[in-house]
Amino acid sequence: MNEYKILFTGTMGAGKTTAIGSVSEAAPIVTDVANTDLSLGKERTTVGLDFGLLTLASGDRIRLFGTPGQQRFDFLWKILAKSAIGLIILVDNSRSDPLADLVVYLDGFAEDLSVLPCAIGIGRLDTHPVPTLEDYIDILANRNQLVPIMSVDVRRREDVVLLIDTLLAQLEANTFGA
Amino acid sequence: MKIKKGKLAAFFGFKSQNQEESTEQKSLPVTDKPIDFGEDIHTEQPAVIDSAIADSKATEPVAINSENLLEPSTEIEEKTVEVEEKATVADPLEVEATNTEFKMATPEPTMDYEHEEEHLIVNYSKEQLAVSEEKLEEFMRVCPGAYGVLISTVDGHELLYLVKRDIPVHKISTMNSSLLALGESIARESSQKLCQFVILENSDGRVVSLRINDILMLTCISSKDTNLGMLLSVGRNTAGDLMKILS
Repeated sequence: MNEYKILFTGTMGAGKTTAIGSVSEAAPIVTDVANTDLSLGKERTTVGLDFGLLTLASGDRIRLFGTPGQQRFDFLWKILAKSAIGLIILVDNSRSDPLADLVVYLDGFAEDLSVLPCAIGIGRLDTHPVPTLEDYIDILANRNQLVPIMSVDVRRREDVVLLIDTLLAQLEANTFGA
Repeated sequence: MKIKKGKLAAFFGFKSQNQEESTEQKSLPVTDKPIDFGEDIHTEQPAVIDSAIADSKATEPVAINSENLLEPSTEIEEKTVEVEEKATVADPLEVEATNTEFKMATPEPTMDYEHEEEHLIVNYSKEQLAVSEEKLEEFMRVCPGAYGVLISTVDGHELLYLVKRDIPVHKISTMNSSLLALGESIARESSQKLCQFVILENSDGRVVSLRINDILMLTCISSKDTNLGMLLSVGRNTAGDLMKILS
């Protein structure tokens, strides 16, 4: 049995903790504390990491780690990205500039993204249709990055599973040379 | 619900892997190395400036310079004068502390993201902060090896701090909030209640973090000149006093 590590990152409030909780077989480990920053409009925020566990049909296990969303915790981004086999970036489309938010994480994980597969999930696209998925694709194209991107509701287990499946499919492609 | 690895092969047009092939499959490029929390943490030194407490907003992080305490002001002056008088007691440790030049470290000028302290929900009066400063002063006097003590929010915003060395207060506040949260989570997962301290024991010093209340935490940084028991005891007493002051 192998264990793989997948890292969830993205903006504060994008649903990293929720996404891990949606698919984790055991109660996820969270390190949320009271948020004292009124500008972020959220009662609690992750300052350490989230952790969940998922078993594949093959018996292999995936360890799901979530980063803090706020950029001042970027020291943890680098630590948590070590030994990960893939990265899932979640973006909250209801924020003021979600395209810039995405760029923050593309830049923050640039070194890891040069070698790791990635999938991007855009949340709240149903209630905030702009920017569109095409706008995100343009951002990625301008950076010469080809990354699967999809609309997700991280409260739905199947949406999170799809993101993970997308990562694994890329890994298979890389490993078996499709 | 289990995920089957080959399920999305068609989705991307990749070659599907069936069970027969799976016996010949290469392992995915995975390593399972332990996380090294000490690696690659970049600690740049902040600029050192002086600032008067009277000019500081109540919600801004405040650092104490021993000269600040003597500036003419109302209640703050009275309280700080009292501290100076206490410091003249013939206690060698206290006398040493009064001769120490405290420095203020700016909130990490090298970091390029926006500071958000003005949005913080913590909003204490100058009187509360002044009394809290006295407690930090007292901590530094009693612990001769201490060279930093910080009050910060549990999500990593520094509120008040006293440092004798150029240390990146902003980063230390942020990192220790992560550490304390992790420590509390580890305690919970280990079926242990009420994480009291998170202790970093290093070759030439110690860093101790503990909660003050639901939204504030205290970080004590010391060389080996203060023994651990002393650091924990004084740290706990200081946190208890601060809990009453900043409630």
